[in-house]
Parts: sequence; structure tokens; C-alpha cells
Amino acid sequence: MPSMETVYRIRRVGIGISLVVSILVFRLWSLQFLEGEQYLQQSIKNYEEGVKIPSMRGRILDRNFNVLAEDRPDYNVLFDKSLCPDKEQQDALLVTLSEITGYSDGFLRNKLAGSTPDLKGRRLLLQAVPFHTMVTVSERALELPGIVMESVPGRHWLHEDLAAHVLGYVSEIDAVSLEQRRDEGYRMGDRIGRSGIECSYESWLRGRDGQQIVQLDSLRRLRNVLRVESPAERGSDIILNFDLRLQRKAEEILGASVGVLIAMDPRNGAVLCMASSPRYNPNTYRRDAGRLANDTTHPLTHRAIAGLYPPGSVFKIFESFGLLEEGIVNENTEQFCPGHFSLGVNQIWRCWRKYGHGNVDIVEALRISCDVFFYKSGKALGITKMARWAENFHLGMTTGIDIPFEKAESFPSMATKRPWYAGYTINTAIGQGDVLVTPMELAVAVSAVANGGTLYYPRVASGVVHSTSGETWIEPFPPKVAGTIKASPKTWDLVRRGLWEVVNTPNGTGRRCWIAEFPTMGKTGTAEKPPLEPHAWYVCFGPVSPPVDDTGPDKDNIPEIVVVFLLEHGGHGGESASPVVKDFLEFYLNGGREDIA
Amino acid sequence: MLLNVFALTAMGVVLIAGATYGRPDMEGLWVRQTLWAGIGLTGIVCCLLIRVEWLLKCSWFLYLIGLGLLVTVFYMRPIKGAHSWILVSGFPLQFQPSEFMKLFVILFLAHRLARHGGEVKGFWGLFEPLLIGAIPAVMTLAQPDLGTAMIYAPITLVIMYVAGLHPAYFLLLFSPFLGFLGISSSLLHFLIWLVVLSAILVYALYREVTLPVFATFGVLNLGSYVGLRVFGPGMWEQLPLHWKNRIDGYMNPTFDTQGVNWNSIQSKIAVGSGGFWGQGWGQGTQSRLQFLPEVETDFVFSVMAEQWGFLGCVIFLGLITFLIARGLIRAQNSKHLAGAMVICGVMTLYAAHVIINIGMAMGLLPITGLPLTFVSKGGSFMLTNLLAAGLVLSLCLHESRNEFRD
Repeated sequence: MPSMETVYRIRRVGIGISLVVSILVFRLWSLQFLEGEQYLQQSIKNYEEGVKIPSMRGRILDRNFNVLAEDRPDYNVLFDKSLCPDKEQQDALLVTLSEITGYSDGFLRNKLAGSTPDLKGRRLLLQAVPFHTMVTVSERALELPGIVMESVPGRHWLHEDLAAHVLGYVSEIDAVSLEQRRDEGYRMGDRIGRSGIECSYESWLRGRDGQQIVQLDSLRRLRNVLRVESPAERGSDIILNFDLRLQRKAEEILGASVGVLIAMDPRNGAVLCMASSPRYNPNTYRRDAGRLANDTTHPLTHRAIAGLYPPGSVFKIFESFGLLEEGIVNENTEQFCPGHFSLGVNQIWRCWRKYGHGNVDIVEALRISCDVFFYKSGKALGITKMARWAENFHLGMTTGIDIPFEKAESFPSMATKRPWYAGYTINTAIGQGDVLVTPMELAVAVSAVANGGTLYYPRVASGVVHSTSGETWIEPFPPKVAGTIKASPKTWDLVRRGLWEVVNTPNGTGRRCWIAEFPTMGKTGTAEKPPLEPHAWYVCFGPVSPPVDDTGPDKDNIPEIVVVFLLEHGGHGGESASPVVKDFLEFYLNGGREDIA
Repeated sequence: MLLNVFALTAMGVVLIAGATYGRPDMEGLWVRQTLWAGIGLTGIVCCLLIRVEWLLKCSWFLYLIGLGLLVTVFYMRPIKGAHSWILVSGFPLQFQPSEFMKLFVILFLAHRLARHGGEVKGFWGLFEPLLIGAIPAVMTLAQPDLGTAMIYAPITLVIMYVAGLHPAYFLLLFSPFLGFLGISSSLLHFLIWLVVLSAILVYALYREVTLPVFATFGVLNLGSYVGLRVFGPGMWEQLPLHWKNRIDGYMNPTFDTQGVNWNSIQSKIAVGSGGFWGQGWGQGTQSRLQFLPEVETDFVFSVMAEQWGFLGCVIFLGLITFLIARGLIRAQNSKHLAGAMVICGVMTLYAAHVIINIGMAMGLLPITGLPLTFVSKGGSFMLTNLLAAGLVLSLCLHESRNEFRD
């Protein structure tokens, strides 16, 4: 029989237990009521994660709404280990996959080992596989347990290397740009335009990534999509001034040779086509990057805006304005051309025609591109005024075109080169020596000659397509004037007559570009590049009416197209460049002119 | 009392089903739990059929068998690094002898202490029950299973207390821990140690603690103080890393939330996010998204709090407290001292598991890994708890039929 003492003791044990249990209940109450909301928030913070819904980039369209670049699904091959945990089976699977894709199974194994699993626990094996691979993998899915296909938006340039430099390419953002552009909402893995239109109109094209909130477990695996915070917004389409057919023709003309062909509308600075050869294929840029960087023909260089060439005789057009306006020559001034020009004893400059041209005035000097006339007159004009007139035409400055990475080399003058010798002036007078311009600079300057003195900013893009709430409208980019040329009507008459005669007289240097139903004015250029063949230039614009004296620039009848053509080491401008431009202009006349003009 | 046990077991099975809901790796766990509960209920019936008196008489034999099994586990393949299980080859069963050993210890202690009719005195009067509890505890600790080893302490002490051990002895028992003051070299700490220890020893002498006991504790105290004074600072470095981490984590709850404190913090989040009504059966992001580890054993209470909220937890705690209270009342009214001690031992077993497990889940105690009575996964554990309930019920049954004669 237990004593009373035992009963008390048992009671005390009970009281002790109850006390501790009540502490537990109090703690429970404190955790769940007093701090409950805070812990609930912490539990939400544990599993909630914002995940990007990638937006579709806007398309790039030509002036007739032909698609040049757009986002299409790319197929990635991923591997889900949980669906194929067996090691031997994995090996067999990689061998099968290597048969289908052509990658070695060692390569695939390295890929598998090197990749980190995504939110669904899958590892990326191959990115953007070709369509037929995707089909084969899907067909043989039974042999490939654990292999999953995922489609992600990828950039596709539909005409392969067409206008590659102008359109540009897109790649995953790198760490440096990410740091600089974090404020704009860029995040790791986002795509960004790297060059061309893709780069300069990035903010339009990009669209806005959406955000969805997903539920992750403790191993950061995706369990559930909880809600879409903001849907992805597709980027706006960019419309170009480009004409697909003209661009294609221009590139076809250039073919394998190295050169540039630009067609521009002198009425507003719209770039109709802009071919640069050689090119690269932006679709395979990532794979080819190494080879392209080492290629001696520099396919990555956008020669139209970043290729610097001596303009050769083309420069004589702009120099003529200087000569006439500064009063060095007038319509009656004649210079005798014996075929050479000497300064002092040992310095001799030759005219391109060995036996000389005899007595020539400025119109004839332009027509036959007499070097001696410009040596003599240029010496009289002096380098300072010559440089000022070159700068009036914005030579030696970037044009401000709407694609990035444009280059320019300052026009030579006493400010850029010291000491300055008289011989430099002679070289500069025929666009040689240190004169370096990009074909686009010439296109802008020639357009100003064509339209009577207005320098436009060249524009590749003509507008952006907005579509909000089902409504679509185009916001055009208005033409912008960069500067004007002021010259007397007399000057205009003489220069225009000179350029007219280049094409429309039997012994003009540009007669090979003569087209009966489409009268043009033009100028050839042959930029010496010893010991190599000279660069061949031809610039022209049309249609024009035959110049009538004392009318000045024909402001009512502005030509509709300016063509600037350069063939690197192509030989003489008159012989190799002008027939090509004729071919191009004939194509223009037979197709597409109505759409453009 | 049987209904109470039924209700708790049922709650446990339903909770386990909810905790493992949507977890393919733990599919069918609740079915196994139900099976074990069924076996356990059969065990209760068996207990009712035998007389606990008889079990007490051969408790020394059971105790020895238990020790034998605890030795055997060291020759078994370890599971999760612990030699806790006995595996029967070719038979899909494994059991933890350390669980059943708790019952054998309760029975053996009750049997030994009841001999003197509640008088616990003298050197062996103190050290015999201590040894009975300490031997299996040390063997379990070596498996290693710290949680289960700890449980022997409250069981042994409570049974000794009920058996009539004077509180002075408890003071003596805890006095060696004062030696920890020796870790620091400050004079103040030494003085505190000296004064408090002297007070305890004088009080013990005054309460007629016999000389051998007194001398033993004198030596123990001196030893612990000097030992810790000399080796104490170096000992910390000698501790296993995960012990140090746990102690560090417990001391600094905001430290290293991704590492040592992860479990504790996630468990508190789970408990806290339950609110009053809970997030519902099978719901609760902490358990379902695996932020909470060991949802089926050590942190099963956190799941209960998350899924069933304050309401569910209080119902559970109410039921178990009611069970313990009922048991203790029966013990008070028992005419059979050994039986009373067995009931107290069993109720302490329940209470200790509940308190330590829940304390851990709510961040009150360091994480040691101890299952929750009637709920946590584990066949041996479930069976032990139900057999323990069976012993109590059997005692009550036979008592009410007046079959005991002292």
C-alpha cells in the first residue's frame, strides 16, 4: 500500500508535467498568434520566386513589309535525370542522341556534366537544334527516355546573310553590359541586340519580359505556377527604308568581290539599300565568330559605314564647289594639262592620262576627271579652304546614321598634320593622300549635290509599328536635316553640267552608265592604292533633266535615287564601277521603282 | 483510457498520411503505420491477458535480454550511420531494441525499488537504480542515438522520486554539474562553486545521507571541478563537430540560418505559419515543399502545427495530457507500489517524448532527434508506446478486480 508520501510525490510529478506542457502551449500560442503572420510571410518567402516569361522581339520589316528578321521557336534538347536514373541507360541514350545529332557522345557527356539543372531539374544538352533534328528526336522519343524538347524564342534572320551588317545580330547579354544596363531591366540570360538595327532600335524591338510567380521546393525545383504577375509584351516591329529586292540585287552585283553599294533617296536621306561585301550569317554568328574574326577579308567590318577609303576623283565634285565659290576658277578659267604637274624639281604628279588633256575648263575637268586641272587649282585654293569645303559636305565626320559603330577620319588639314607640305595639298586635291571617307559619307554628300544642298541624316529605319490594345499604327521617323550647302546658282550650274557630261557625253568617264530613259549625273573615282589595284568608285543620281544655265539647283525636280558604289581594288571607276551601277539602275527601273518613288 | 490511446494513435496515422501526402518517396507510409498500430493494439490485448506482477518478477530476465539485444545491434549493418536496428535477414522487418529496452528498464526499476516498500536509502539504494538506467543509456548513446539515450534520465529519476528518494539526493546528483563553473578561471565563479556545493553537502548531511554516498559525491564534485578546470577548455575542441554545431546553433538562433540553424528555423516557420485553423490536411508549404526535414519523425509536430493549426495541436496536447493525468491518478489510487511506479514510468516516458519533441519543433530545445509519442513513424516506437499503454491498462484492470495483494 503506497504511503501518502508516494501519493504526494506522484501528484508533484503530475504538476511538473502540466507546468511544462503549459509552457509548450504558451509557446505555441506565441508562435502561431503573436508571430504567426511574420512566420507565414517567411514561409511564402521560402517558396515564392519570380520567373521571367521571355518576350518575343519585334520583327524587322522592309519598306514593303517583307520580314527580314523575326523571333521563331528554337528547340533546345534537355535531359531530365529523374526520368532516366540508370547510369547504363544514360550512356546508351547519349550514344543514340549522338547518332541523331552528329555530336560525339563524349561532347554530349561533357555538356551533361557541365550544365546546371534548371527549375524543373533538367539539364541543357543542345541549344537551338535544327528542325529536322527536333523531328527525329521527337519520333524516337521511346528510345530516348529523359530527353525533353523545349521551345524558346530565338532570333531568325530569314534571308541568311542579306544585309547582315545593317540588321545586326542578337546574343545573350554579357556581364559588363548587364552591369551597365541593369536599370533598364536587363537580367542574366536576356537577349540584347549587338549591332545594326538590332542594337540601335533595341528599346523598341525588345518588348517587355513578363513575370510569373512560381512555387519552388527546398531544392529549388519548380512545383507550381502560382500566378502571372505581368504577361510578356511583344516588342514593336521596325520598318526599314530598305527594299528587299534592291538589297538582294546589290548584294548579287557585289557577289564575291569586296565592295559597297549604297542607294539612298536624296529627298529625305532614306537608305534604300546598303550592301557590303563580304558578309556573315547572323543566324550562325555564334558558331562562326572565331573564323570570322580571323578572316583576312574582314567580313565583320561594315564597310559602308566603317570602311575608310580615299575618295579619289569623286572628291573633285566637292572641291569644285570650293574652287568656284572661293573665286579660284570661273567658267572661263582654263588650265593646261601636259599629263603631269611638278612642284619644285623632284616632285612630279601625273595626270591619269599620260599624254595630258590639253586646255581644260572646270566642266571638262569634271567630265574627263583631269587631275592636273585640280592639282593647279587646288594649290591655288589652299588646304585650309579645301578642308572647309570638304567639311561643308560633312566629309570627315560621321553621318549620324541610325546604326552603330560608324567610323570617320578627320579631313586632312594643317590642324591634323604638322608640318604641312605643299605636296600634301596636291594629293588632297584629287582625293588621295590622307583623305579617308566612308561610302556613307559620300552618299550623304552626293545626295546634297543631288537635292540642291541639303545634308540629311541617313536613315535605315523609317518607322516603328505600335500595337496596343488591338490597335496598330505606324509611327514614322521624320527626316532630319544635318546641314545645308550654300553656293551661288552659277556654281551649281557648272558642277551639274560637269556631272551631266560625265555620263551623257561620248568621252565622259561615266558614259558606261548611260541609260536612255533614265538620265543621270555621276562621277567616277579611282583611288590609287599602290602597290595594289586602285579602288574603283562610281557615284551617280537620277533622274535628272539636262542642265540649263543660270537656273541653279533644280529644287522642283529632285532626283529620286543616289547610288554610291565602291569596289575595293576594283580598278578604274569608269571601266569597272560605272557599268555595274548601270546594271543596278536598270534593275531599279524595271522593278520596284513605283514602290520607292 | 483505451479510447484516449485510440484517438491519439488515429490522429497520428492521419497526420503521417498528411505529412507524406504527395511525397512519392514516402508513399504508403501511413498504411504501415496503421499496420503497426494494429499490431500494437493486439499487443495491448495480450498485455491485458498477462499479469504485470508476473512480468515484474521476471523483469531482471527481460532486462538482460534487452542488454543482449543492445549488444547485438553493434554487429548489425548501420542504417543512416547508426547501429540502432536489428535486421532479420530474409525478413522485411527491423526493430530497435533501444525502444523496447525503455519498457524493460521501467519494469526492472519498479521491481527493484518496490522491494523496500518505498525506502530508498544507502549507497546501493541510490546507485543501483542509477546504474540500471545508465547502462542502456550509455549503450544507446554509443549507437549513436542521443535522443533515445536521454529519455532514460527522466524515467529513472521520476521512478526513483516516486519510490521515495529524498530530494537531497537529487541535489547531490546534480551537484557535479556545478563543476562547469570551473571552466572559467575567475575567482568569483570558484567562490560560487564553493558556497553552493557546501550548502548542498551540508543539507545532504543534515538529511542523514550516509557517509559513503556523501564521500562519493564529494570526490565526484572535486573531480568534476578540477577536471573541467584543467581539461574543460580543450574538451570543447574534442567534441564531435555536429554536437558543437548544434550547441552553437542553439546558443545563437540567428546565426548561420542556412546551415546549423536551418532545421530549427524552418520548423518555427512551419509552426508559426499554421495559425489557428492550420493550412489544412496535406497542405502547408513548409512540409510539402520539403523545407522541413524529417516530417515523419522528428518534426512531425511542426507538420501538425502547420496543417492543423493551434486547434489541432491543443487537441493533441489535451488528449495526451489527459491520458497522462488519468494514468497518474490511477497510480495514486493504486494499492500496489510497483504498479504505481510502472504507471509513473510510462507516463514519464510519454511526457518526456512529447515535451522534448515539441520543444525542439518550437525552437525551445536544441535539435536532438526524438520521435513524438503515438505519431512519429517507426514500428518499434509505435509498438513500445502501445505496449506501455497495455501495461498500464493491464495494471488498472487487475487492480479494479482486486487481484493484487501486497
